[in-house]
Amino acid sequence: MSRIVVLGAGISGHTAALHLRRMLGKGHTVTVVSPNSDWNWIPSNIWVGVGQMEKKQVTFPLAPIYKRKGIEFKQARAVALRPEGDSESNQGAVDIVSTAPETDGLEERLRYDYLINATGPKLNFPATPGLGPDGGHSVSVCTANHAVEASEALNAVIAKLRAGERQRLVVGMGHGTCTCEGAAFEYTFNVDHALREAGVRDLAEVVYLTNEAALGDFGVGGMVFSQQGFETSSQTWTESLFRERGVRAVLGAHVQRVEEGRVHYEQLDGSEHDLDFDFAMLLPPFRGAGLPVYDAAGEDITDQVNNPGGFMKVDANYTPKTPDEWRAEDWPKTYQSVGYANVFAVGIAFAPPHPISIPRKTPSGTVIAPSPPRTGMPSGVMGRTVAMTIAERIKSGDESIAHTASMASMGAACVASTGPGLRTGTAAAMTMYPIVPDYEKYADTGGRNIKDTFGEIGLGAHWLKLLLHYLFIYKAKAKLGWHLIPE
Amino acid sequence: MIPTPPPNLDADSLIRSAPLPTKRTLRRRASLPTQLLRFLVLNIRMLRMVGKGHGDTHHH
Repeated sequence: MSRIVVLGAGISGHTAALHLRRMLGKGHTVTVVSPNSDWNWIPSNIWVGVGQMEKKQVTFPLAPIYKRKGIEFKQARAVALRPEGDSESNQGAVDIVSTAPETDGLEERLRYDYLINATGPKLNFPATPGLGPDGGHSVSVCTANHAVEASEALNAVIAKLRAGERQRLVVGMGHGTCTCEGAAFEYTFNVDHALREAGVRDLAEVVYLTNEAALGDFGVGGMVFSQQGFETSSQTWTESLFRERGVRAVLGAHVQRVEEGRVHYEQLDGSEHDLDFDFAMLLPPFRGAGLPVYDAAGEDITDQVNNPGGFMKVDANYTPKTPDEWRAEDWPKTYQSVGYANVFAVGIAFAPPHPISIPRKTPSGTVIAPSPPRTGMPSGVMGRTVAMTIAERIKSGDESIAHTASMASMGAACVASTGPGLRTGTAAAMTMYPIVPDYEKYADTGGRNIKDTFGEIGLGAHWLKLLLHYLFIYKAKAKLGWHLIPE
Repeated sequence: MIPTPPPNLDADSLIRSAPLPTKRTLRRRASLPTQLLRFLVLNIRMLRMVGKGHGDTHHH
């Protein structure tokens, strides 16, 4: 009988745990370790951040779901990984420290037969001095609580606008190496919408501050769309939306520091600027969880297992390459860790081989390089794929089985949606296939299949976003037929 | 890092010269019958994309 430990209960970890439970008999144990007691549908935090949804609409407690499904739940933080075991046993183990109120601080060594590392990002606010809601001068929408604070700050600005004071709202990326530009883009349009709803848009200046060298890059090097008989770019499409909504932009920027009401940044041409603001929602860069790893003798082997960013190395090609040497096959397929066949890393936790968007440097050497997005849809697919691999290995005893799902053969969608109503909302929807461009297969259309790569603005896209919100929360609650809903 | 042409960072002029949707386009984006059809098309396209993103089984 096997025990599978899943570290993390985000999209990839939760998906993996539910599928493992579904595919394996009750004799096997599936254990989820997460420091958080609640699940959070992070894409909808954007709506919480403008007060259109409440926190309770995007979160729910994990324990009752896991109890109903027969999944063991440990509310705890993983602090060390021992893939070769220790002096007592050569079975792999992970050290955890409880974060549950009744057992807070209690340490435990969990043995496993298979381990899935789905620890997600460490929100690296300290990378930029003054960034973030905890001791900094900007707000965030990365967690549901952050989003609630962002909504309160936005309301305060709207109150000043109503009193006739001009206000500047800055939304974007708090560091040159951030990812999730799509989320900042979406929040920008929700802020714009909230200001229009409040009747104060004309007194507000909305600025999108980004590390992208061009609008529409989204950390994936931009896309080629087909629209009304023409091939167009996601850059033109995004610039058009900015023009329509009267949103300004700052491009190719690395935020150096944030002070009370002022952001300092350097742009790709080496110029340095200050921008005063009354409200700033700036996303942090991500680090990996950086779980320390020890061999059987207790020696630190973290550097062999994780990359310097704290992400776990898997079956990717990590040979340093220039962007013209990047290939679709560099990207991992099985997510099996380097050196340990029973350890996998999925979602944000795996180390990508290189960016997708071209990294650049300023004349003074500051790196401005959007990191590759690997959240949402791809995270879920990776979670399920690894769950299938492990379940089949356990059932067949054949350790050579590996299901595959490369980001170079996987699509993704980003729907930036505003407005709570069925009639009043609107959205800008984008999909792309594949996420990692394959310039050999799709040479003329930016490395992607133009039939599956498109941008669309309208009420229909807003309905799609609402549908996805309710569908994914239903799925995450593991209600009847949940597994029929695709990741 | 390879030398790439310096990007145009003049966002104001780029945005100013981007295509502005006509009133007809804006109406289409909010029109119920048109958008019901677009919603269906979007769902079909999403499902097709999701279907493509499913992996295979391999034996090493």
